[in-house]
Amino acid sequence: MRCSEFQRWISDGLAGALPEEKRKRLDEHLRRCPSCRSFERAARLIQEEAPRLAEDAAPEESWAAGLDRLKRRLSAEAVRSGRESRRGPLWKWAFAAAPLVLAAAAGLFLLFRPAGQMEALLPIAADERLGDLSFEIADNPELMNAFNQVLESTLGEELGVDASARSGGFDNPILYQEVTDEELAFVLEELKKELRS
Amino acid sequence: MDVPDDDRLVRHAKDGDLEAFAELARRHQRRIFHTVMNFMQNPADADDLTQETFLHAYRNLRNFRGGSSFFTWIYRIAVNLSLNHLKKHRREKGRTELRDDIALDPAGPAGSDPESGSLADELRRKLGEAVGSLPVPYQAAFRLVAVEGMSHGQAARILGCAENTVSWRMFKARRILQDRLKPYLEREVPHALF
Repeated sequence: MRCSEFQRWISDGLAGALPEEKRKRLDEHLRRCPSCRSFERAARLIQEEAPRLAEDAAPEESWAAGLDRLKRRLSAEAVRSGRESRRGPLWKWAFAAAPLVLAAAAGLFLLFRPAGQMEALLPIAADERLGDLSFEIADNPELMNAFNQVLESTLGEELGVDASARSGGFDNPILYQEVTDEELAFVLEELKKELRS
Repeated sequence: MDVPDDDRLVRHAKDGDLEAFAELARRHQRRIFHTVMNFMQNPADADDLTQETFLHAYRNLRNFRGGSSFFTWIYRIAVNLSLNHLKKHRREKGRTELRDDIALDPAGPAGSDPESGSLADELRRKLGEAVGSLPVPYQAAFRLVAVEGMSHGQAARILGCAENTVSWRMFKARRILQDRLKPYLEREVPHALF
């Protein structure tokens, strides 16, 4: 048996993982092998010092401060997760909300479009809905993406265009600067229907 | 007064009792911090990662089935986050193997220089640096077994590998450390033949 194999036994022995039978054979080997005795001494010294590496501790007052910080983060997490659980399945909700999305999109069109006559038509109600909607989707990229897809496909069907090919998402203001008057008129019609309902 | 055990607090936390989870965090934050600190060697990073450990546990609490104790569960989370942090840190530095730039004094240990502290202190400091320079798998095994005092079996369960793997990694870690710390160990073990 080679010394490297005995040295592995030494390592196991320091972790209390060496069976008695191997221990006896190792002891015999150590009596006649200075190289392995040297390995054992050094390994034992490192082993003795190692637990002291864990002695660095944070100051006493930092525990309470750390716990306070954690509680604040947990509270925020709880609010967020509660909101998400109320939302239910993402896609189901996104499809159900499609009409509202259209209405909100109309508001976005008007908000981001360069100044023009259409802005005078922006209904306050839509602005409020838009605020709620923005709040709901702002911190959830997945949901935002779902909205975008629903909105784009709906617009695409109605207008016979591929809205997604042009947009970087409906959170991208550049999109609204490229909307044609025909498209905007359609969205406004949808918005009016939504408000009437 | 009835002091709820961890299992009961976990049940309450799963039902939405935030205070119950905060109590679990209060009970275990020190040990988790020390564990993370073993890997990070930086109190600020260790503090951040301790917070992340509990936040991760909170987000995934419904997945905790109680097959192990709550502490074992978050301990595993803490070790995994620490290892991921180390791996990421090393990737960013383009360093995947044992680094050669440990700040070992080329002149060897300071010996009797009173300003440098005792030889044992110096060895401990250099040991910390040398452990931090080990490849991550060896480092993880060494920290759990030699620093935290776990058995090979316990470390294997935390690391998700076989006991024999932990044994091998420990052996390799000890050999690397002896090689890296040779000048300091020679002073401490005068009869050692390296």
